[in-house]
Amino acid sequence: MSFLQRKRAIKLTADVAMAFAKDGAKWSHALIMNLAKKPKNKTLLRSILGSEYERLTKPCLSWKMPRAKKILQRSFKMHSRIKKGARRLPGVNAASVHAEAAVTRTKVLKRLVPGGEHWDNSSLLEETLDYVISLRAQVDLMHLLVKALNVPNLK
Amino acid sequence: MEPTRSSGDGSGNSGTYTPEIAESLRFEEEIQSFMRENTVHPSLEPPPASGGSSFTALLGLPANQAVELLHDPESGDSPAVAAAAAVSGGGEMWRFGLRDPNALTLPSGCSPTFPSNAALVERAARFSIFAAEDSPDAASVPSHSGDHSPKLKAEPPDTESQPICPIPVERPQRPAKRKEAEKGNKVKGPAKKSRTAEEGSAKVAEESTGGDKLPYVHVRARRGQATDSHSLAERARREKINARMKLLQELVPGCSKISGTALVLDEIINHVQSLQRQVELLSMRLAAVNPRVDISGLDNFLSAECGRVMVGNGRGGVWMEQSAWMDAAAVNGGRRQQQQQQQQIWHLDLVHPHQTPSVWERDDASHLFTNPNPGTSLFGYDPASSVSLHSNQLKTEL
Repeated sequence: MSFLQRKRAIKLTADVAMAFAKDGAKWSHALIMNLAKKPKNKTLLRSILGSEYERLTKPCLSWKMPRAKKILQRSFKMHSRIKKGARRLPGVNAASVHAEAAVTRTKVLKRLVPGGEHWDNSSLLEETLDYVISLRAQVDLMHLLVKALNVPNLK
Repeated sequence: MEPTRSSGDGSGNSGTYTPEIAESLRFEEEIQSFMRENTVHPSLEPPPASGGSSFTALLGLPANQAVELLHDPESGDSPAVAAAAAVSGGGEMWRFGLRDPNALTLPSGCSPTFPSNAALVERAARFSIFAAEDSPDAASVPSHSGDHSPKLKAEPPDTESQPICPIPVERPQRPAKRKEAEKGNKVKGPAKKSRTAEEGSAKVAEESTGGDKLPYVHVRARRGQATDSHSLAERARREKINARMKLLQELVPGCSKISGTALVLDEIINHVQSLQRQVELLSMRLAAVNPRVDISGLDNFLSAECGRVMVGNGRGGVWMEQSAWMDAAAVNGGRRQQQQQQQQIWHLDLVHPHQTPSVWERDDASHLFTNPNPGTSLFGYDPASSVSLHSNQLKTEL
């Protein structure tokens, strides 16, 4: 059992435990699905989740944005773009820079939170909140574990 | 059990109101007991008697209960233990997760203002639980929950007369628009001081439809703002996003001073990335904890760490390592027999060193362990001798 394999296994169990503990959120489902996609993790996942494996890895479309809503959003954006385009002054506006900055950062955040690409802005923020809380709990827990097992610090 | 029972009640009867009052009063007592235990956010404590405040109490209970229950399994288990426990007793943690939606259905059935409130109060309650460990946040939490309490308390006088009448009518029907309307009202509540023509028209429209089910979104407009539906919806969305952003700002340390969306988002992204990196780092450190006894080629590792690990562990630590090894072995191809063998060897190693197979009898060091009892063998070890034992053992096995 190589070192890296062990580390990957531990990280996997930690993530699964975190996602499993918060079953009400969208990101937990997305996290488990992402982990289940890779063939390396399948055996470990099955042994951990046991009976819940089938239930959790079923793709559930309820939390992804339905197509109609996507079309609506796109048309609304076009509409507002047309309206703003008529009024926009030439040159670089502070408002436009601000808006673009927010958009790029939102895209980065979507990549960070598991499953974030499918949600709209407000639910993205909500799930980020959830995710940060769980991550922090996870880190605290692992710190305690390290301390409890007296892991030697090899420098 | 209570939330599921009460939600069953709520869905069962369609017309009467008194079971709801009884349930809410019962919840109120529970909430007060919870509040007494949880001293971090006293500002959400409901006043004892009035009907409107019992609804806010209902808000507090499911959030608190869900959060308490969420907090316990996380703080009590290790990831490996949780993983192992998930297989056998996984229903327990999962039940906690289930309780959350169950707990929230009753409030949404009782009063139309809940769905938006419940999310925010849940966040606030969560802050209080996690902030109890984290001292820098403790200062922000009372201010945060104090921030919510004026909003919550302003609401009962506002909606007190309303929920009592429309509830029997509204409970069967729950259109999303009604949620929007009430949420819009709640958001505009603190700002509805001024009166203009626009506001007057919006208000009149709302009063005319009174206590029945509202098919339209009725939102009180602020002074000097347009009232066409697009901008109203836009404004509602923006308010939602701003509220969530505020919560995030309070969560991420050092973000409350920063103004401006982009910088705050920057900080949030940095925080999430650092947390993820910490998880990686800690998992690496945990992976360095222990070697297996029968793995060849880990000489140095063993001699440096094994003695210290075995002396320092109690029963719980021993079990955690066991499950961690179990998981790691499963990755290896799921060879169960090998796993059990390894576990056995390891277990025997720790508990009955002098009784293990002939491999060790060949050792000179075995006579050092005269009579270790199972209970004390862990602590009766001399680190130096155990180290030498293992290095000897490896040599003989190889």
